[in-house]
Amino acid sequence: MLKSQSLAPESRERLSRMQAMDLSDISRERTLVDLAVARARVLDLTFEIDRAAAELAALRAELPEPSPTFQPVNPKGRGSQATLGLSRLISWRRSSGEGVVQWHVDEICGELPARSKRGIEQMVRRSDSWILSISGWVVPKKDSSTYTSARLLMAGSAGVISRQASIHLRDDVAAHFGNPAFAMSGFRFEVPMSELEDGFYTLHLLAFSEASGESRVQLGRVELV
Amino acid sequence: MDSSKYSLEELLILFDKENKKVIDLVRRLSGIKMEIAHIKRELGYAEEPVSRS
Repeated sequence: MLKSQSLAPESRERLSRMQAMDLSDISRERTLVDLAVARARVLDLTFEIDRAAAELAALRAELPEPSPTFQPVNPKGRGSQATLGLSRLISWRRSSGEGVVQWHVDEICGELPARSKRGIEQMVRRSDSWILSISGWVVPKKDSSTYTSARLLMAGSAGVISRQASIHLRDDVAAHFGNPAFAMSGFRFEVPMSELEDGFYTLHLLAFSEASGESRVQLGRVELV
Repeated sequence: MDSSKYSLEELLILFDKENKKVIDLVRRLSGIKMEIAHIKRELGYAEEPVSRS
């Protein structure tokens, strides 16, 4: 401090600028380290969630049938929820749940997607994130009970990827519709980028409620680049 | 990621986004674990002993 006070004003100013630059460089390095740690943590948590979700799916399979009113979408009985294929997706296209489902996608990889009559349209850059995340809410139009589970289908050129949703509390949705049963209407899907190839994916949401069974709706399209 | 393309402010925004993802994933994992515990109870599986360490 004494040393710098003995310097000429212009030298003091230059020293001050250099110190500020050094601090900025240190902050930058520190932020890069923090960013790397956060990304590694995201990856670890994603794998941990995948393992936990697999365990959950196995446990759910042990549970008795949820309801005798449950009607499978495919009346011919081809495939199952565990082995979702293109044939089943085609059958959903024929028996669309459009008009009975109200939904909104809040974000895809942190960005609000554009929505038109054809649904959402969003371009996602692979380099921006480790995972493709999709969050929003879904409620039935007619029934008072909310959906208890949801599944996302991503139909791309390489086939169909299926993911179970995590269900979240959405007090705002319940308040908006004036229906407390809609409090758990939030959904979130996450798919590691490593599982996805570049290209277009059509997104379908399959929602289940004990009152109305399964409903499916086409959310729109995502382009991964 | 080529970090040289980003300014300190942009890096801080990226870090903030990643941090939010971590928080969300931790919440999600916690929710799945709670659901697993709930189904295990429903299926009559013995509770795993809680470590006191």
